[in-house]
Amino acid sequence: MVNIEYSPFKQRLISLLDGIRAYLTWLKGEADQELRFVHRAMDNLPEDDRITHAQLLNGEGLAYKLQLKQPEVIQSFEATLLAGEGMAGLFTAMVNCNLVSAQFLHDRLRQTFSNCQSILRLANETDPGSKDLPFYNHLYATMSLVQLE
Amino acid sequence: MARESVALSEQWHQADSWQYTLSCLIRALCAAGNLEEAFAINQRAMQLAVHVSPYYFRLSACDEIWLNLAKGELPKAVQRCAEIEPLVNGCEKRGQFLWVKASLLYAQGLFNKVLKVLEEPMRDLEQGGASWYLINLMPIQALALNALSRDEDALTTLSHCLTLAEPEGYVRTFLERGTPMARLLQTALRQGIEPKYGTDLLSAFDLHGEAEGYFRDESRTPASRFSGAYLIDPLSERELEVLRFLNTNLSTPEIAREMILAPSTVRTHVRNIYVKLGTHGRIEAIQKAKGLDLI
Repeated sequence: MVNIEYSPFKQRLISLLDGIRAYLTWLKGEADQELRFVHRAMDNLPEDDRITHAQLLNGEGLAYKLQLKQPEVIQSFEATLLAGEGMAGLFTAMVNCNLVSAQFLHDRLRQTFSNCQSILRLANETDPGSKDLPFYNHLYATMSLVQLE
Repeated sequence: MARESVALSEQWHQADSWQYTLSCLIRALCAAGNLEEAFAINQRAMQLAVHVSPYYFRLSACDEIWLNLAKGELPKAVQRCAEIEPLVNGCEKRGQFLWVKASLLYAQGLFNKVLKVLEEPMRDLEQGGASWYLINLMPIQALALNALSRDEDALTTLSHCLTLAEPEGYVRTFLERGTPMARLLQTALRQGIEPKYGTDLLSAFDLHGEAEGYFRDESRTPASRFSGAYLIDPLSERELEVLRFLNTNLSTPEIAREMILAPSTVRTHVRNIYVKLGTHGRIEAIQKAKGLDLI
């Protein structure tokens, strides 16, 4: 990277690398560090890269979730949905799965369960095979937690 | 549901979410009193966690501590907690680790330490709006205060917890605290604190059989016995009407004729009823509905 001349391409690359670092720190449960990477990635991201921006916002929501800051979590995921408008329905479904697990921690059991059912119903209506996609496992797990309560 | 989430994770071999779904399954098994399988699942979760990160391993270790507490293996729980405590970060100290640590200190009879360990993080949690954690921590706090004979403070804490928990109908968090919680709830009831919800919760404890909760006696599974006491998503008026017809010999087209609806609409109502009741067929739905006094 040092040897690459500064250009919009390099700026984008720096941002993407920070996005990857953010994900890895999230896996380590280091929310503060993840947020630093996410925000630095956002600062360097070219304005026209909406896809990466939406993914970074999703990462921001996940970090706030680790920090148990519920209003920020919900704000980030809602912003992700807005930023991701027009992206594939699967991305929206994945973010919605994150959003419902945040609602669960925010003590919205009935709303959480009902939203989980809506997401699955929508998945079933649009593409019956899609409800077997990996991120739906979080949805089933969240529903099991609600039932447990 | 928890098993479904694990099955989906297994299909995709994504270690981080796999470990998470196993953790959810462990909680469900623990609540059902199936500790043997829960321990076995926890072993799998720990093996997976090693491939993800030390953070995930600590999450699984928290589950292990919880399971050992449920089994009454206090020394093992204390040892594992001592191993991971130096490694937990700030966020974990407000999350799952805090819940496990407070439960462990309570089980050790270190009630002042319970209060100390909860004090600051609970303020943060309240500010952060993480109510689920609060609802799970406040019963431990109330019981510790009660054990220290700070009865008024205990009832104030319990009252606050009941106010938070009542709208969503939480049951498990109180049941898993066993007899001491049942006694505290009875005291609260005598003082007129949340009488309706308190009565519902007490009916969920098996007071006639000296319920101990699964903290003291793994053979008892109060949470599972009363798992059907509440409906997450209540049935609509129309669904209740269909449900009453299901309890007759009428077929779907006949029900549709009686209700002046299309058979497909009745089928949709029936599907929704099954989902809401967590059942898979007509007979099972009728039995469940009778148990819930819906018909």
